[in-house]
Amino acid sequence: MIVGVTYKRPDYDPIGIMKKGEIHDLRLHVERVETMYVYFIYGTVGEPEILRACKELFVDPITQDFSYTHEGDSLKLITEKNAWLVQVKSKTGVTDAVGESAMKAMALIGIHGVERVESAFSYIIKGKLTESELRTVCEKVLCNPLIHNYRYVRV
Amino acid sequence: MIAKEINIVDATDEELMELSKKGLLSLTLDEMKKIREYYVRMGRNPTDIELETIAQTWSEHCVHKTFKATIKTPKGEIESLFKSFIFKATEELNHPWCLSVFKDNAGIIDFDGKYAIAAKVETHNHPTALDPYGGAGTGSGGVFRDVMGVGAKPILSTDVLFFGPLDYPYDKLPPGTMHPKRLFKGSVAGIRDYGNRMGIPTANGAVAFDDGYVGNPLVYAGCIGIMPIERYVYNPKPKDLILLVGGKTGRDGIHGVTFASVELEDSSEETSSGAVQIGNPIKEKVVLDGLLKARDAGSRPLYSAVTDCGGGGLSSAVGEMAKNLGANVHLDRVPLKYSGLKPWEIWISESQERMILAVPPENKERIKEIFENEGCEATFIGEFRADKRLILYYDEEIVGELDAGFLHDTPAIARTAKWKKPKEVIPKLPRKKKLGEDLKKILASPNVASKEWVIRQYDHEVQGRTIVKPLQGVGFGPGDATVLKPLYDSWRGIVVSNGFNSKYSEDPYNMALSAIDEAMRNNVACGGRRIALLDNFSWGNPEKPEVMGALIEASRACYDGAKGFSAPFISGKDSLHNEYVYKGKTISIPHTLVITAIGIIPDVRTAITMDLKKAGNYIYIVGKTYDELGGSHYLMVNGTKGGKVPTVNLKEAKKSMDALTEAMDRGLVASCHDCSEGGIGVAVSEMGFAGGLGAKINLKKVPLGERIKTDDKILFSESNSRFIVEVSKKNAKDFEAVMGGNSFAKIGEVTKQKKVVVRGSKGVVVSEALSSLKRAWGGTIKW
Amino acid sequence: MVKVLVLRVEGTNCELETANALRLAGAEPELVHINALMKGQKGIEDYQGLIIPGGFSHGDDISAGVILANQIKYLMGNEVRAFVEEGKPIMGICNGFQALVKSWLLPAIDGPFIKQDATLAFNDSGVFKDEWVHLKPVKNHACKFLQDVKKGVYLPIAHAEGRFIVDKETIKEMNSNKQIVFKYVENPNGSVENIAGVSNPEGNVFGMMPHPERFVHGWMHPSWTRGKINEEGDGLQFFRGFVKYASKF
Repeated sequence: MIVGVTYKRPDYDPIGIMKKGEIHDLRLHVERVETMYVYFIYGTVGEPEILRACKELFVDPITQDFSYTHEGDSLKLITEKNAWLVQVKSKTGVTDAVGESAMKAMALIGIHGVERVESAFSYIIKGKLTESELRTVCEKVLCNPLIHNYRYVRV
Repeated sequence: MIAKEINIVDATDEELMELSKKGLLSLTLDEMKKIREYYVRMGRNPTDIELETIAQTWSEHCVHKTFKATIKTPKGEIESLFKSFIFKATEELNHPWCLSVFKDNAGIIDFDGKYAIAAKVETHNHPTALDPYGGAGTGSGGVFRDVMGVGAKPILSTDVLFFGPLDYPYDKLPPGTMHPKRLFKGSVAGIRDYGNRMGIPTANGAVAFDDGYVGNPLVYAGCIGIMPIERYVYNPKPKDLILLVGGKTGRDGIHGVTFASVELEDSSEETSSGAVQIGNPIKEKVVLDGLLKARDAGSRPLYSAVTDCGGGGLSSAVGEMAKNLGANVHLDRVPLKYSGLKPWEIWISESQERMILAVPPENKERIKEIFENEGCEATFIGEFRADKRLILYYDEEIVGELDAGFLHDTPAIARTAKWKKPKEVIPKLPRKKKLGEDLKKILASPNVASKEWVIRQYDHEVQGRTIVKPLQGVGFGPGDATVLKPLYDSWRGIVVSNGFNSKYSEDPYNMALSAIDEAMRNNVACGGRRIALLDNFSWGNPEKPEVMGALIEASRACYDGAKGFSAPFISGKDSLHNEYVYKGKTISIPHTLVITAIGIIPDVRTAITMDLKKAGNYIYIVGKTYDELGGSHYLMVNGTKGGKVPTVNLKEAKKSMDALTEAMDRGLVASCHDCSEGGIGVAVSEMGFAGGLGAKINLKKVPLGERIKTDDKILFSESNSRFIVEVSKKNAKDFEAVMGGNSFAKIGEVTKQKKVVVRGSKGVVVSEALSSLKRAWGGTIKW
Repeated sequence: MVKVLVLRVEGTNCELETANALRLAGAEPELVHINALMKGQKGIEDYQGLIIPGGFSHGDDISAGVILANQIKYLMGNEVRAFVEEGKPIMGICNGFQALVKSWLLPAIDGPFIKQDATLAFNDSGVFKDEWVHLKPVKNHACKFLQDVKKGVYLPIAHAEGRFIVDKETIKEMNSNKQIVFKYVENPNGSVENIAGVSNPEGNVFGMMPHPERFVHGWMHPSWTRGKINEEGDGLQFFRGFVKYASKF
């Protein structure tokens, strides 16, 4: 299952604000950058358990919203239109502390059947960027291609 | 999982070099031939694991071949820079409070008879160039483990960073390098997240910028720790068990050590992905918690030896500990992050957050329970032998066997050096009537400007030991040193400072001497004394004779400086081959030596800070000013070069520093700041806006070491060994009596009016509001 | 001697100086790892007070304090509920405050473990902030063990996620219950109504972001060299009040 967690308000999203500033350093202009925390949960965990994990662990009810899907493209969790959507995920073998902690924490609250959890970040970028500019943004601001894989789509 | 046999015995010289290059072994032809000779004698070929182990053990990074090499110079031969200069000074000084120097993971000095201070500083340059967050963070993680590796508890994290200019044009960046701003932000975040999460205050350091660091960022991560002297133990015995604690093992950093000995090419991003390490500080925190409990359990530590698993991984850690013993190591018992690792990968992996302990068999259960109670994984992977044979097993099958003697008989190398002192150029300077604008330009220049943006991201007070903090006074000015009170029930403290100036690198002897002087005076300015030093060189390619020549000059200065100040070196490291090659051109870093100084202060309640305290107090200068503008910020902001790099008169410097310490001990000093970049002008300005008080000084009163014709040179000369000292009217007479016999003079006083006013030979040359000076200083690195 | 349990988990950092502050305040602190509580080697019912110190429990992974919060709810929930209902004091500092909020023990308008009424989110600056701040106690606040802190205090903060956020209804309730205990004079992180520290309606559970254990003697003040310092730091009174109240149990 794939869970995506976003902020209810842009001013709750400091990473989005910071990334926007870093894109400006490259002398590219975007209107808005928003982040989504993504958790890939592998195993035999059922939907009610995932919902419980969201309520008690992954999602802060005061500042965050979430959506989930059983499988498929995690970027489809984002409903925004007229934007670039980018997902950044650590390459296999790179330490994923958040994923490891998430797995431990799910066991802690009595959720069984979790084989592993992998974490990722998705970014919603609102603004006029060519594909080549977007790739620059991906490689210079959003990730380090040495240790991350990234993919993007225009919606 | 059978080990692979590598054909060495029948290989030609060309095939040997091809083997070294393709396998990223970084071994020279001589070394490959020595290995071939050994295996011919053994009558067999090596396995892949054996070859990797030898490469790793003999690598530049692990062994510091260059510093131990025999160097041919036009003036004769030098046998080991380390023995002839750096260690020699320490040996000759022979201070009884140096408990363990250049031996173990960290240098150890006495603190109060019961406790000792452990210190280590290391560079982590190449990994930072590839991934600043992971590289700088694991640099911190690694040096913390070095201090833990002698059984000490880390109580301070330090970082000194070097980058290319923050406004470097993107289109001029060599391909495959990251922009300095990205490297800077990433490194700061990495150091912050590692230190903060481990609960170690990051409270001392510096950041500097220069064109020469584009493509070659430098990260010096340091750590100071404290431990009870009686709990220091390093006595592994045959039959002791080998315990691996901490994180799981993966392919992290494979060839990181041998990679560090190679120049980066612009294809590094594709070929060296295994050389990047990512850290998990919480894993290291639980190792620390478990280690301290194991150390303090019962009447003696539950382990007989401990070491950090860093460069070279298990191969280095177990190999070192087994040097005089030998060991059986069962690689299949090592907990893995994921399956599919070959035995040689497990053996040399540089996965972070791991340590090795030697455990007497009777403590086996107890020590494992202690670590597991802290949430730390602990696995026994073998035991020590008595016959110096290092045998590696996988699933009961032998996959490699090495003779510890051969392994640690690292071949000596020879280097050649030549050095020619560059001709002095007289700098062309316009005649200036007013110096306020230059002063503000220097204050705003990145090396001098406020680093508050960096400093406030670090937690400086966790553990509650930080008594003198990095940002001082009501205006948060830059402190000279950090003062810690390590024990809750004692007022005795330690003072930590650093010194460097890569703008002086064209004159490496004086650059090094100045770095030592700066670390010393930063320490003394806060009340430190009984000072120990650490040296850390980041240099270019030592196979180039001029580069080697500069290294000799700097090492010579280390000897002179340590002897002159009676401040022994207790630990040090070097990082070489900091060059970036592209399109056939080489960008080499300026020769960069960073000195860390650790002093003692008997009572932290007498520590001194740099902020001006009271209007009406007198302002003194201690030390002579010379026409020394070589490498100065004043010349830099005027777009010109030339002049003499500042040197040090060691005898006078030591005498005046000792006198100043005495004056501080007698309570005669209200505030004190050393003169460095921007000389007197910057020092007085910083004291002013830190204290929220103005100052008026008269350059005609400044004691000169030689004739100086113009005011700008007096105001901005960067001569060493100088202090600006604030003394109350009441204490002036006693202060002058204590300082008698040294060069010093009253040059002005503290004013209520919030302005810095400087009088020169023909009238006022600076009249600037504190707010204007602070604005210049605070605006450069502010995001 | 008053026995206080100082809770540790992986990533707790401030336990030593917190224990030191408790000792200075006349208590007998004991550092206990949550694993020991889980294994039944120790029980919080044997202690008169509980403090959750600062640090980076579980690396702040997922969000600061949320995993520790779940450990409290799931591994010690019954014991903690009994502790709270008995009226015994609990103080959460920084990461401890985050854990109390996310385990639904603060502000706990309707009682312990009912729902999450508030959160501590990322600072509005977006980065970790280390600085000293002035705090003012709110008049007639509910916290039973901090009634003697009558004047403003100066304490250090060191956090990335200290922005206290509540919705309008909750803040109305909190105000009428007098649950807001301390406010920042100058808001460093964007907290609603400058809130720095809050208690539960009964006043025996309290949490705040600033670190009182980092200012227990005068020389911990950032500008003590400028003179005019008291030998005792502003933070010690927090522990004295805590210990005095705990001694009743």
